[in-house]
Amino acid sequence: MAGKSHVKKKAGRKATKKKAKDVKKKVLGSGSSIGGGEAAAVSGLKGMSGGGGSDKKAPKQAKKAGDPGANPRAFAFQSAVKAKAYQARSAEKEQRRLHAPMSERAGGEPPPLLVLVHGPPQVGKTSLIKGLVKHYTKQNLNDPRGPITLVTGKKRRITLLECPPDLPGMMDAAKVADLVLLMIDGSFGLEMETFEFLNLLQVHGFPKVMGVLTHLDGFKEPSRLKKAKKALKARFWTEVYDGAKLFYLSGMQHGKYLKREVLNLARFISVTKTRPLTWRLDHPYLIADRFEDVTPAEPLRLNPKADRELLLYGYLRGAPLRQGVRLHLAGVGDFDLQEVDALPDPCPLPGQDPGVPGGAAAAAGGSGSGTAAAAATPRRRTLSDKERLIHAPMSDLGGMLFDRDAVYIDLPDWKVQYTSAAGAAAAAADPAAAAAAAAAAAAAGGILQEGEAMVRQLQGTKLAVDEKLSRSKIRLFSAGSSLQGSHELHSEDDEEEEDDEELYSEDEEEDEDEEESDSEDEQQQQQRGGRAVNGGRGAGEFPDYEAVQQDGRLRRRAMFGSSNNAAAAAAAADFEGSSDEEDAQQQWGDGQLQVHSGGDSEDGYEDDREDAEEALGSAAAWKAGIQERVASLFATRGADLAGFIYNTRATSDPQGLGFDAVQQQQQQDGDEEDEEEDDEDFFTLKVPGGKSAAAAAAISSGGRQQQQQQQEGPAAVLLQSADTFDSSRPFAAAAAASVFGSSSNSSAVPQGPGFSLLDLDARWSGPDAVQGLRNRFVTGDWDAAAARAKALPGEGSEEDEEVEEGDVFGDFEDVEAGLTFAGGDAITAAAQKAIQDATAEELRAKKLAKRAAWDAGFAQGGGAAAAAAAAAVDRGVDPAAAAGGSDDEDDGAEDGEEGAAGRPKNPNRRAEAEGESFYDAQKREMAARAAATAAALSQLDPKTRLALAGHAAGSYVRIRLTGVPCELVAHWEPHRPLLVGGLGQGEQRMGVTRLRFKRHRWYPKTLKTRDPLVLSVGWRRFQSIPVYALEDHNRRLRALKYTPQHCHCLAAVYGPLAPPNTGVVAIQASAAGPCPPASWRIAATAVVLEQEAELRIVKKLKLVGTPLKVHKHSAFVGGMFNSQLEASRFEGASVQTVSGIRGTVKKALRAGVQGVPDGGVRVTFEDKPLLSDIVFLRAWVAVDIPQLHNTMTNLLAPAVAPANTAGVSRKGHIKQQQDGEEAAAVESSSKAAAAAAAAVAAAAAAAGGADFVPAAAFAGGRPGFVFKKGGQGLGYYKDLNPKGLNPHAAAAAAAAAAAGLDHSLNLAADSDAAAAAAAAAAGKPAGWVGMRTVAELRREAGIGAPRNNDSLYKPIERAPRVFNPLKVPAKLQAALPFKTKPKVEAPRKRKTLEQKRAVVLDKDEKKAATLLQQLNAIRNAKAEKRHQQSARRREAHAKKVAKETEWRDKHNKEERKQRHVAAGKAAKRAAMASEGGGGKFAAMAAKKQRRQERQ
Amino acid sequence: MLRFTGCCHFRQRLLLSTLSGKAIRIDDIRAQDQSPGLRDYEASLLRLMEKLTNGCLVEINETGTSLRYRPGIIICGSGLVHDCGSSRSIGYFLEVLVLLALFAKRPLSITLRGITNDHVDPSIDTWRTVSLPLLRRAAGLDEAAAGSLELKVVRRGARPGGGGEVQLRVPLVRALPLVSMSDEGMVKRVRGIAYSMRVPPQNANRMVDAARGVLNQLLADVYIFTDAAAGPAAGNSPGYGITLVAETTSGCLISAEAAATTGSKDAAGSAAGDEPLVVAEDIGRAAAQLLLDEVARGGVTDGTHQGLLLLLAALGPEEMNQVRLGPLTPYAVHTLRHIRDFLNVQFSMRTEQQSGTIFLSCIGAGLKNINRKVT
Repeated sequence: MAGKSHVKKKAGRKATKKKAKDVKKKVLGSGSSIGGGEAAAVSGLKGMSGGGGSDKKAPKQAKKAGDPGANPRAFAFQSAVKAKAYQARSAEKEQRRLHAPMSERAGGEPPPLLVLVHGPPQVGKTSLIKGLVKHYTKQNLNDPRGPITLVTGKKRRITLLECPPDLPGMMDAAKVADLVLLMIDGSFGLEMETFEFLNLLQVHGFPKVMGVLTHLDGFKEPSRLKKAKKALKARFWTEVYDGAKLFYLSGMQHGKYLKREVLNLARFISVTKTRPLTWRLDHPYLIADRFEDVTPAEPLRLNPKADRELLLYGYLRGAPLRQGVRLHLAGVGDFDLQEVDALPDPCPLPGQDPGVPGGAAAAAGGSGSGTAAAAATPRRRTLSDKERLIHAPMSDLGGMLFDRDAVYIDLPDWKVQYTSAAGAAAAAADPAAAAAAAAAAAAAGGILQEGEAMVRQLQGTKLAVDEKLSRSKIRLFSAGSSLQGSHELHSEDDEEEEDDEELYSEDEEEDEDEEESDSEDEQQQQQRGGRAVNGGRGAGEFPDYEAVQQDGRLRRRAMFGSSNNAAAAAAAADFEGSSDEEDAQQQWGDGQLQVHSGGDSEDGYEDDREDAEEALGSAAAWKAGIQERVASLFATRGADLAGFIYNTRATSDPQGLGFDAVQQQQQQDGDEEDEEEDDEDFFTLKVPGGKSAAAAAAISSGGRQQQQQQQEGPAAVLLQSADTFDSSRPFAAAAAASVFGSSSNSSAVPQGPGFSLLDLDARWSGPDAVQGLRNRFVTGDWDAAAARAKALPGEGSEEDEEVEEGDVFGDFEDVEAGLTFAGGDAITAAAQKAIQDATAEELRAKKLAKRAAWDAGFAQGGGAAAAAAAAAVDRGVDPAAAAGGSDDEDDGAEDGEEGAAGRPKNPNRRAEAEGESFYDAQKREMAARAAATAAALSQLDPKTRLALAGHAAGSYVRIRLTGVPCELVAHWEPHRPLLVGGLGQGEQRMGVTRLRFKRHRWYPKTLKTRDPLVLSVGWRRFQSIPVYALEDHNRRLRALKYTPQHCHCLAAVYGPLAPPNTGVVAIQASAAGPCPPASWRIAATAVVLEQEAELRIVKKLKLVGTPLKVHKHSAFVGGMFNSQLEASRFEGASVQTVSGIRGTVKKALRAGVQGVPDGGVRVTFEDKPLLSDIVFLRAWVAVDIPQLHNTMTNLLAPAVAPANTAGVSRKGHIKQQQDGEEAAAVESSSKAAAAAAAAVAAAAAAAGGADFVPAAAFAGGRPGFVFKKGGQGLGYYKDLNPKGLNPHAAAAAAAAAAAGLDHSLNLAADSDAAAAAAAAAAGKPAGWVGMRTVAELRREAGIGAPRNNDSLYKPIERAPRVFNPLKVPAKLQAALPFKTKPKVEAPRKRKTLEQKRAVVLDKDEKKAATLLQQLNAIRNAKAEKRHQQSARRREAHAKKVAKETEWRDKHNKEERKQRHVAAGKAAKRAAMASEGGGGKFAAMAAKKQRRQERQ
Repeated sequence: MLRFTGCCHFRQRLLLSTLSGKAIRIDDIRAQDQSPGLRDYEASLLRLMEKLTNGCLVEINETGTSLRYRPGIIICGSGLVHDCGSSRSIGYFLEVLVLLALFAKRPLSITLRGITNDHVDPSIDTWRTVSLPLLRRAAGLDEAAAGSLELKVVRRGARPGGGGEVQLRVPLVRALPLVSMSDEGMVKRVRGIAYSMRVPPQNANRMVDAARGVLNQLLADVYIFTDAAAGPAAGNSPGYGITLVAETTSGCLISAEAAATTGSKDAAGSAAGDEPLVVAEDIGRAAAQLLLDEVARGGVTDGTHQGLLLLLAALGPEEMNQVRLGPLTPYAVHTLRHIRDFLNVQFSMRTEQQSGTIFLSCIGAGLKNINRKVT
């Protein structure tokens, strides 16, 4: 129970149950063997654990026995073994619950819980979102797009987001989701998307996941439904965790999910707790829920493809966002944060002020008291309808849809009363003829009233009044030419219109404010979400509109000025009103720098604050000019310390942001001086210094230091000059400065010590001087020292200051800006009063809270607890938390979000009680520190707090970015979420990342080194070229060609760096593309091990050479290197011969030395090598890691409708009328391309009778063929590409050429169309195109893998080895003993005697010979006979065996079985055929018959 | 990329650039000077950075007046040697080295050669007795790890000849702990070192006597060691000086030092009102009086270490780091500005009127050692 500080303490029914359980556990845990009631105890336990078990009586018993009050002893363990097991189990549970404690940021309101709805297409995601929105807000959304923020409870908001179907979108979504609703089509089963998404979640930090089963109404039989549910649940549990919640949506009614089921789901969502994930805690991020392009019109007119300036809105999540941080837009790129403002919360919690968090909320007099009033009213359990807010700027809330440049008003058919046909005809006709037509209609149909006829006529009007006026002609004189509507008149009209616009926008702002405080009816509430989106424009202004027939209903598009470039440009040209745009223009004008004429207290944040005020509406209007007023008033006052220190910004960023007035002034002065001097004497040295020393006085604001005053002059130089001497020792620096001030040799090393002995002596020689310091030493007054140590800035001193100021300036303080103003006009006075009221109210509330806390604390824990609780209030934390902290003492530590204040005190006491564990101590310490930080921050004024801590998570902010590619705006789609992530320390740097890398076990292919991969690391997604490696035992990184099968390897990837332990997902570009493969798409997962500037990965290198000349132990070796230069690199390398003689390369030889060719080396060996030996040089050569990376800019490419949902009308919010031309272009070009593709395919088919064309060598690419060595030998094989992309390759090339032509056109739309056409021609829809793998490139070019002929396997032909005859010299032979003499005789020419002589037999001999011959003949004949006989016998036997085998085979069991099965089937078929589906009986009859047959 | 002009606080810019990973560009480095461009010690520092990091890019224009620096990854490691030259002392380099090495890939062990003691930069003795204990405290090095942050003086070297040698070892940290130092305490004892090189050892004793003469008025517990180096351990040039450290009841260390300066008395020196220090008694007395100055300044550290402490606070965790300092030196003010520019960390400054001290607090940047390898 000690873990999970992030988990909120449970309240309600379940919690009480749990508490009861815990109490029981304690009783059980402490149990020893106490006699009696054993059986009861066991059965009772069973009943409790089993729930609705098989034994019906058990629950009853459990209930009876389960009451711990009845007999606690009855539940004690009787067996020591059992008790031990129980203890072990509970200890294990306890340990499993422990996590490394994470420090939480004590902030204000948490951001809305981001609920991501994910699932494969057509699973019902949108319907679910609609259902949830309807459930929470009772409003209908026809087309939910983008993030939708809702208030779901008193203390809970959620943001609903639909996960896009493409892999990049899924990656982004997985990085931000707090809760994922994984939707699964129950009728179809789990789909790949679900698993892929789970895998992404695992890598990027696993948030909470809930499964939702839909399409369950497809099951007809309940048993099958049950089975399916069970199977899916089992699988889901294995994927997520055992016991993960799987929700069933049983079906739809009227196209909606059942109300009750949505309610249940909503309940589950409302109790979900979030997990703190490291990456998200460390980085600020937001999902943009509003997107505005605020590029000035003029540069856009000049170059339609100019970089854009964007405003993005959203709830800030994760870490606080500070000024000056760099942001990454996922799918776009990196941008500097130009500006960030906190805006009023568009969707505040009930009872919460929509004010700027940490900013200016309570300024307006009304709102503060309003809050107080709200607090006074009794709290309700449920939300009132008024509090059910929704913020969905991109969706069509209340029938309004805000597009980039237009507003659509959705009118359902049933709300529109169409006029009759006659009327329509009249309207359709020319207005001039309308009257006639109306008359005709009146004549034909019925009598039209005069008024009705006029209205009908008005309906038919096509042109607006001003247009009409401009076109109308007037003839003043009968003879004169007719004059058209004059231009002057027109322009005047325009101006008037603009003025109106301004008026309206102001009015509208006021309206909004009123709306927030007043209560309004539901209808207005409905519009509120949409209104907030609208920003400057809204209900007050009635826009032009254009009627568009789309999807069978009438939509009227409201047209605003911004849709028309020319008009906008004209407006911007003579624009005077909104300072926002003015600023923007100034920003755009790069060279111009803002010069503040005000005073010395301005800084870079002033602009920001002004903007924030502007957003506040008229409430902040009274403060509009206050800066100037204050500046003028305070011009004489000394600058405060922080102002002085941070005033001069050391950098001047090119945008001129925060460029300081003082510095600029100085620069200007300098420039002027320069100019003057330039005129006079060019070659004289310029001596800096001598500038005003007044500023330096502020350093010694502490005040009473003599030496500081003495240093003033040098200090001023030190602070203001850019070339001061760099030393941290103050006196050395001062000495250098004084040198610097007087001589031209700037920042020379000072010669003197930097202080004057005389000065020092003067200061310290007097006894008083030294004795003045007495109290700083232990010999002095300890009380004085203690007082000094305890003195804190703020309280005493500041009050004094304020009193002083009060005398001079009049006392009131702007709570927001932390500035003190002098009272003046009536508005200021009113505001002052309001602030005072608010402060008083706050004080009173605090006092009350303190008292309540004291009371509560006293009631529970006595005086000490009460004091602690009261102290908590004092520190500015929630007293309820403190109180809660003290009361949850006995139910464990599950009090995570309870508020930091309760923590430090509470575990303390527990520690006293039962000895604190290390874990608890850590947690307590962290919580105490977080609380201290929060307390310290709350003491600061908002401006300082903002400067220190940045915008906290949970605030609604507006972010301004510049230099955004125009394609983002051109291809903006609300369905694709825009993730803005803050980059942490060192994440902008490029370098080589070392990853522990594993190919996903479901990925069908092996990954090849240097094949590009898309990596998702941190916020980023980029394509890079990995090199795989394995680490040897000596830490050598040995390159791999392919990823290993079932183990990790290392991957070195060049790209933006990420901190170690960051998870990485790798996919192939084609998987992210528009037509992903049907198989598993995630190629690999990895984790960052290390970041490096470069990584040395090596591969083996084996060089072979032969000795050219062998001396004693050294030899000249050639053939190893190509040049002397190359060889010289290997001097000292060790070599080895095949026979194992080791050696060293000594020297690279000049070509021609000793007749050695170029590249020869002298090598010494340990033994004499043979001339016939082969010498090897084994080395490791570094493999270079390609320094290439490519951000995956998928948001800069047109959105891709996934193939299977392209045709679905509910998906595509296609602006037909606007994109009509483009669509036409796409269509025509795609037709052409299709024709081309068809031609190519036909050609291929014609040629393709043969699948193989033999060829000895590669002779250029052939479309549709791949050159490789296959089963039929070397040659061109037909490409059997599973994707079937290849036939389109030629067409793609053609289309790409077409696109190239089109690129010359300047309009974005055209090039889009061309790109789309190209894509369409290539057989894939448009989308981001990344680097392709080598295999893909080869396939496209129609070539196979390159082949080295030497590497081919050929039959080995070994020539028989011929040895020369051994020749022993005659001399040697003569000397040899006979034994060793060669016994080979020379061939004789004449026959030997024995060959020559004739043999004559005598009688006896003849006789004997004859006898022997006869005997032999007899024996031979017998043997022959025997042989024949045995052959005959064998033959007979074989015949017999064959016969037997035949018989055996016939009766083989297996065969018999098969035969019978076949026969049975045949019989069945026959029976079925004969009886026409006779059924079971026929089959049985057949079976019986068969059995009989067998018998 | 951040842009700066002028050579001031060159070290800090390089250091913060490397720590934060932001590239910088400095223009107009002594553009108006008789000898424009980077000095030799700055070049030496750049070489040291190249030695310690991997993948950094340094581009200097022809005249040396502008510099582009793209930081690399901090490596460090052991067995390194750097010759600091004879224009600035080793203390100049240490200020960069120590902070950088805390966030490196491997623990640092380096031998530095050059001047150990002079009147311009914090001397080796100050580093050993004040700066490193401060770092140990702020970097959260416990007893076991404290030994790994150490500075060993092999031989001393005075200006102008140098010839000193020190060995520095710096361990790694994951992240810096919270810096919360607001109790100054009372000075309970004063320690010090009086050193002399290639001069009669009496000089050291003379300095000690003079210093004690000033300090004994306030405190009896003054003990100053003498270190009279001779032979090869004394470097190439004669010199002597004294470093004094006041230790307070709350464990704060406040230091002051003075060293003999060369006798060459140029116009500039006299104009500024400070004559070269050569008499041992003067040096001892000046050091003691400077120590009184520092104690009078207030705050948990002296003027020399203000910048270091502020940097440590700014690099600390994302919680409220607080330090109490006396009136800020120009160096500290520049440090604050650079912290704002590089780390986006701003301090809130509240002055305590009675004691004349400033409470500076900030939410740290939460810098983590991302260079370390995980297994």
